Amino acid sequence: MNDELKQHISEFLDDELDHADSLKLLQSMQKNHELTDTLNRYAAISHLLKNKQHLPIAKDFTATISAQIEQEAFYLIPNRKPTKPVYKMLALAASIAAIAVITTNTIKNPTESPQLAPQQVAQQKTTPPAQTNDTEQYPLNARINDYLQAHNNSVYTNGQADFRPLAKVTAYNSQK
Amino acid sequence: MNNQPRMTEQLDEELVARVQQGDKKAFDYLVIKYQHKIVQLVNRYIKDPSEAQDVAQEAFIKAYRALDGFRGDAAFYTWLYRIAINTAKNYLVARSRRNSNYEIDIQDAEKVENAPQLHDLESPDNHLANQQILDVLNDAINGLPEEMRTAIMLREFEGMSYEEIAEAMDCPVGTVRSRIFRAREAIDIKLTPLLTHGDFR
Repeated sequence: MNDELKQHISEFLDDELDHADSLKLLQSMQKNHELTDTLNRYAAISHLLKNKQHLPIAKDFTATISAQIEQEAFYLIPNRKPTKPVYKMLALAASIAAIAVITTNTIKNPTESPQLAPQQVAQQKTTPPAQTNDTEQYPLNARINDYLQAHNNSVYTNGQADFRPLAKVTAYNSQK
Repeated sequence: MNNQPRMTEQLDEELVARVQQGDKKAFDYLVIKYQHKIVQLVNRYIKDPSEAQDVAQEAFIKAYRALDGFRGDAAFYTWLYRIAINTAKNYLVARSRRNSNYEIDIQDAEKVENAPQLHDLESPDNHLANQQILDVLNDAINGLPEEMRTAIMLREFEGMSYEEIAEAMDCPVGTVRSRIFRAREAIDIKLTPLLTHGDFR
């Protein structure tokens, strides 16, 4: 090992070696353990001077860690800033408020404005004439519809209250 | 103005980014760079060198596992330093739970930093070996040329940067680099026969 390399190790220990040379030295140290030993000896001298205590570092210190992390699974997780809990709480509060308003409206005016999905609203706008035609063409359908309406307890929701979305609950023969 | 701290932080940032992208070898560089500092830090809490080394290794592995969450808000070494201290404290707590007769607790451990005499709890053999090493060290320092001795003393005891030492000694920074290296090398040559690196296990 030449003196220039050793001097670089001495400077590296003192954080006085520039970026490029430090990187080059670290690369050399990983391949040549004699260089790492020199660094550890210089570090031990430094510690001895300051603390009057000899604290050696095992030769396999880095290799042991390296072997262990080699077995670790690597998950490529991008750096992410965690969502602040304040925003989460606000989002939760807004959701609860929205549910409360919808539920209150539904309870106050059960017949006035059933919550329909946009598709159903569109269907309603376009289908009434067709329904009339159906009833005229198929009188049996009209009778079935009358029967169903007479025995029908239906609840329509858009899924925001604690019901199944667009669930229709029909009770036949409810008087029994 | 000394820009070395910024330079070493830049190197750390680069290495951390490489590890975060899956380059495990870059983590070895960080271990090589900081192993002695972390072992010395842990040794303030755990006096047995072999145990201190195991705990330091555990701290590095914990740091590796947590590295994807490191966002660079603090310098890497500051972050690693905290992990090492917590690992050492947790080790002491676990050890005191395992052995209720163990008298060391966290508060005791924190006092160690300001009470170097507690290191004297080591065995008589180790104490003797350490004393021999200290004698040789003192001889080596006394045998150094004046300018080398001054340069290494200013560095080690005063914590001065090379630039500050150059100013104090009225010489170029390059000369300071050389003097400190030569001093270390002279001490190393005298100490090497006594130092048994890694043989304490």
